[in-house]
Amino acid sequence: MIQAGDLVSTVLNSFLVGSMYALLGVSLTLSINGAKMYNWAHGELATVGAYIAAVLTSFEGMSALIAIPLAMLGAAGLAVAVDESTYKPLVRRGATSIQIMLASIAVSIFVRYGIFIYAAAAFILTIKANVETPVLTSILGVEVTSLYLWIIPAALVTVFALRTFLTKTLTGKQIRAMSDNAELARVSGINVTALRRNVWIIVGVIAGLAGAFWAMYSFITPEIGFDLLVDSFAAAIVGGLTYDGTVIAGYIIGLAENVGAYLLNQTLGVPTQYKILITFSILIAVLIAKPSGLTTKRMREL
Amino acid sequence: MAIDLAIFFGTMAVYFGVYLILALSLNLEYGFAGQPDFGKVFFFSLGAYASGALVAELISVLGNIPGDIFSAATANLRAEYAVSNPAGMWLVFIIAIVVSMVIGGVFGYLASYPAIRLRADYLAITLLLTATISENFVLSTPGIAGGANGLGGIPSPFSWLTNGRLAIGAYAALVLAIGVAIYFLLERLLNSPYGRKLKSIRDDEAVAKSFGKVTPRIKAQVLVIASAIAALSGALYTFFTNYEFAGSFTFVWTANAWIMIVLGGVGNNRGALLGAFILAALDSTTSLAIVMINIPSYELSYARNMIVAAVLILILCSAPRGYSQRGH
Amino acid sequence: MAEYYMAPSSSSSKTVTYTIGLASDLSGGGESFGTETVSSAQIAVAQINAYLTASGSNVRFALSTPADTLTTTDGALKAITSLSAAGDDIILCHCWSGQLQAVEQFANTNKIVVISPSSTSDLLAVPKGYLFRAIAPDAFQGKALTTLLWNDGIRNVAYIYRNDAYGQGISGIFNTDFTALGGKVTLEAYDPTLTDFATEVATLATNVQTLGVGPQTAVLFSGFSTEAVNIFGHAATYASLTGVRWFSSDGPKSSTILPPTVPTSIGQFEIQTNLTGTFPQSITNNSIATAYLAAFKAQTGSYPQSYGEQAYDATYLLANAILAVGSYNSTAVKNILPTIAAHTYGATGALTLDSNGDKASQDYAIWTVVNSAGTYAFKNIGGWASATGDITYNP
Repeated sequence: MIQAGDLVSTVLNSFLVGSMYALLGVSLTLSINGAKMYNWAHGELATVGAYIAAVLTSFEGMSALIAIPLAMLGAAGLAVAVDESTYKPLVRRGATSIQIMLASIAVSIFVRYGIFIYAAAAFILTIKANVETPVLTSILGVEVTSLYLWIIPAALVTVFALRTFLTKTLTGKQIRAMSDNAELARVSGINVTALRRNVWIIVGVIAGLAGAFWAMYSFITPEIGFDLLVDSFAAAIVGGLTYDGTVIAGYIIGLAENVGAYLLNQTLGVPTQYKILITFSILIAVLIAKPSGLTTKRMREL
Repeated sequence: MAIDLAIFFGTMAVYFGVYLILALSLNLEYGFAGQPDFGKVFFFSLGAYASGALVAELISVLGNIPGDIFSAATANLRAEYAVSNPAGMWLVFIIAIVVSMVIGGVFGYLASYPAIRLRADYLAITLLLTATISENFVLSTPGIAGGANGLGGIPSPFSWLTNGRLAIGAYAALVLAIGVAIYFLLERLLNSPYGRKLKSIRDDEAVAKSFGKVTPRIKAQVLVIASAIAALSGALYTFFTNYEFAGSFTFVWTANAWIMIVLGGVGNNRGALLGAFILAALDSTTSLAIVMINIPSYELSYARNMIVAAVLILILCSAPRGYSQRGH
Repeated sequence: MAEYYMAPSSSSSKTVTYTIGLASDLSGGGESFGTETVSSAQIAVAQINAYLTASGSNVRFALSTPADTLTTTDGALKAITSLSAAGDDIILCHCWSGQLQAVEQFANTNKIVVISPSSTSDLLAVPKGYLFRAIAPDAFQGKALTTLLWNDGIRNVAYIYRNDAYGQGISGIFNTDFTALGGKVTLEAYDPTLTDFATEVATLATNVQTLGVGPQTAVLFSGFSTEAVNIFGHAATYASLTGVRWFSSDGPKSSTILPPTVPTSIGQFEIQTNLTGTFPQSITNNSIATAYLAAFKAQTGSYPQSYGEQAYDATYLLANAILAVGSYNSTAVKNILPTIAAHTYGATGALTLDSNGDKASQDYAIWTVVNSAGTYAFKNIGGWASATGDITYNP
């Protein structure tokens, strides 16, 4: 039997989680469009951001306002380092997209277990960011904390900023040109190498932000980014690899997993463990029926 | 303590055989037909689930064993049946292996639908997600494969050999024989006109299409065969572990399959053989060495994963096609 | 004091060393528990060797380098086969129930003794040949929980548990026992591999409201600490969930669910809901346990959170059996182990084994969370005795 308060709680939570899926999906979309590859190590960017935020706020007593930007910087640094050391050389050698994908899987394993070693040694295999989130109000018996004021506006502002950057600034337009046709861009005198680096910096910054938020929202383990990869890819693909679409898709997936799973459980008795199947069904349905995603924009050919 | 060579080499041989068959399966799919399967473990797991279910049901009929097939008590009874009924157990084994391959093939056929419609990248993602979801689904649904408890009592067909080391050795010989047979069958297939068609698709799909080769149907056929072989590998592994559990079919198996074919050389069955051997030998040797030499470190497994990942990256960066000669 | 069966001292002064194989979760989710088992085994072996040295015996024990079971079933099988290949056929394995099932056939066909201090699934309460469990199956804990909740006036239970052998096992037992008394139970399983349990907690809140918020309704939790803190965190935002009492089995009882490791809001939630649980522990005055805990604290700097006492006792069992047999003969050890256990009293109480090779009885301590001057801690407030099935509270 559906309880109004509990339903409201799942709806509210959907927007929290959906915001983070949106950030992860948007950054993933940018890396796919801008760097022409599927980065399986994308989740690790979020994990690094999450751990930096958690450790700095818990052990160094830093305020979130300092820790979160540091987390974003850390993730950006990792993104650039990985590209310079692994992806760019492979592209130069003419590796196929599957080979690069395979390399990204290896990078994902390498970084993830590196974090495992650190976390195990520091006894923080599970940790949460120590940020005070006082209760603001109560809706139908469900508490709403300031976490909502952190995450949801930040996500929307970030995506808006990204879109503005890509459409209004010179660098942004060059990035879009490079995404459409890298050869043409290079021939027109655009510094593709510097642009690529900028792409990874932005990707890392946004993914790191998502990770930091997740550490504020819940407990993290070294696998948190990897666990969120399914939802990241789902948001990006269902969003048709566009930025608007991915944001919408992120919230749809958040709603499906929270509200959808709750409703299915209360009305049809479907166990809540199956909620990941809901995400998957949406993804498969989109891939089979409309691979360009839920948007009307044409899917970019990579 | 002296090294128990029978157990050391016996178990290493079983892993080698299982890995070989799995690597050959992925090599056929990707190395020869260009289909990137990042959900390999899904088809592998099908063989495990099918074998488990069949063995449990068949023995309960043949051996007149009542009771819940998922209970540990009936698992014990099944183990006893295998010891005293070698002929019956062999019949069960053969049926289970064959049916596992059929089921693998069926799901391979189903997978061809997305395979035909999606680009390689999206196919890879779809198959990877399928494997993830399948693990979650089977774990949450008790009736299929024991859910969160798994299913035990899947005895080796050599259980009647009361000497454990002999039983392992005999089973290893069987698995290796099957692996070698598959190797030669695939070599035959790939050097036939059909095989040349496959290689032309891999080399340039657009060109092959322009020559009128029917790629969707061939893709489906390859997926069916490769998936059947992967399921066979899973089934053979399950008869060795005597226990199947959905939670064990993680991405690690898929990653191992890819590591093997990249190590050995993609698009080359000899490469699959080499890669499988290296993986099995390294695994067994390092595990034994760690136990025998006093290496006091709790994060060894993490370090091992990092080293394997780094080696994989190095191989991809230096020789994207692996170290074995690329066969033509 | 445990009795030692001494093989007659050999006239030669050459030292005979028996190596007990050690397999444990040293990576993955089970890492913290696995390392406890290793430390506990080391303490036991050190004590045994000290005793043997002092008695003038030429026998010593050693532990193999711990083989990592990776918290997976495949890892457990790899670890046991490696140890067996190294010649260590008598093994202490920190295995959960799935891992134990994965090694059963190999152990039985190759005559390898494996004893686990941490597998409690009732589903494995069948004869297992060479496999033994130094901890009682959860049938006892189910009874303890039933008695605990029923005696406290609870008649409706919303049970949320981990979807694995542990959670499924104990929830099934509790469901049977509690409904037999006339109570009502709603079961909800969660997938432990998920990152967030907001939906599960929303469903739990609904379940509780369906049962009716009040002093007769309670939530029962069976899972590990990592999920517990996420679930407690979400639950704290629901008036329905903070309005009922919360109970728990032994799973989450670890310092990782107490402040300062977790935010104080979670500590407050635990106090507000009067979180009370069971834990397998001897409830009679046990000097062996006290000495072991002191040694553990001295060696590692903190107290064990999980089945350290069981691992300690299991090591003693293996060593005593080997001493009684007089050689490293796994079949002889397997045959004599029940006899040795029947005459041993360890840190966890009487170690007598039943016909399935599992510890035949187990008391459970009743614990709760207290906050004294800002410091959160666990406090034992009583115990459930398996001999009587009754709960007695400390004065």
